[in-house]
Amino acid sequence: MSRTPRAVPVALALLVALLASISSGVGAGAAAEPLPLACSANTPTVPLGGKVVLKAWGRSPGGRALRYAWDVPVGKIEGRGAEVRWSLADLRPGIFAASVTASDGESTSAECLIRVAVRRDAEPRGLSRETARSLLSAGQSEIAGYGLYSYLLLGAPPSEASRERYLKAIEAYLALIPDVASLEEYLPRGELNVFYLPVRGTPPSALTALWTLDNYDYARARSLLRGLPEPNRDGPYILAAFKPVGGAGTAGPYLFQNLSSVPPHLAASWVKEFLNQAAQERFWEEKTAMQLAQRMRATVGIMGSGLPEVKKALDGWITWVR
Amino acid sequence: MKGSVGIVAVIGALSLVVWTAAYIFNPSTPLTQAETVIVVGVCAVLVFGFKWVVSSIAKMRGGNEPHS
Repeated sequence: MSRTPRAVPVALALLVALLASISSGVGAGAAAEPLPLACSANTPTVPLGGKVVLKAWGRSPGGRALRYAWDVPVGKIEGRGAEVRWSLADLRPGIFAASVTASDGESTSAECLIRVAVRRDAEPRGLSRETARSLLSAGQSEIAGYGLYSYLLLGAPPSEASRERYLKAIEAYLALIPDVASLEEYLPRGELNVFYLPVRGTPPSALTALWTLDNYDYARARSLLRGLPEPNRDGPYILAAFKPVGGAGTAGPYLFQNLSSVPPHLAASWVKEFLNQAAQERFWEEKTAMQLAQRMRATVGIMGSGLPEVKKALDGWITWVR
Repeated sequence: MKGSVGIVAVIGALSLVVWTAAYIFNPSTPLTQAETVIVVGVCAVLVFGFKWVVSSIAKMRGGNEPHS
């Protein structure tokens, strides 16, 4: 008899709790209902250094505006909204995934994944990039359409010690690399690496290293070197990039070779090494073993030029002590 | 005689390393002949100093050994 009055409030409390949990469960279910979202790339594969357009399609049940959030573990997303571009410039071949979610402010969609394969295309007809030289006169802009843009840069007018190195590098440039006009008779611009040398004045018909050095455009070289991390006030330097290098720096991958401490008689071998490097598809990735061998060779060359100086000084000391 | 040839070779090698390093760090102004003479002199002082320290330590150790 005494148990009934106690049981009623307990039963009521249980009922209320049950109803509350049911109603909150229904509410949570409605909030967790993801927005419908689909996504796709305009192509399933891209060549090395390529870009792909990503698209997402979502729909808000309430007709509200959607906000898309793109996420990529590698590369870079350009743009915003339902359609963006995914730049895969610095990646090796492989499969990469991008994800996107959409939100209308009240609910969010599930993550939608897009997989894109970066492929290594075979070089057309198995040929590598060929380098052609061209003088870059003061005020003249680079011509569009080349596969690669390279520059032979001198950071400052030559000192007594660097003059010979400059001359040897320019001699190698003139002797080893064919003129751009002659190569364009046989090859399309897209397959050429145009190797510019900035000068002032009108070049003579018979171009020499001496004329080129005397008429070198140091101001333009400084403006091109400005965007690089080091001050680079010696030289010669070789800079290569996919696009013409502007004052604001290089966009995308680039190759920078510093020939400042290369003994003059080895300058030609470094220019040759650059030509091989530029011929590669991924020209900006230096071949480590080759670079190491070149540096060792340069160090031996420097020691070779220092040996007579040291020997002379040592002989002087020995004579003086005796 | 053998020892002095070795010392001269070490001084020469050390001087050459310094000359090469100076060239690599500042290729537009390598060491002049007068500067090279100074480098060789400094290297000689270092090598003879090192030799003197090593022989002094060896003598000290020899002097501390118990005599029978």
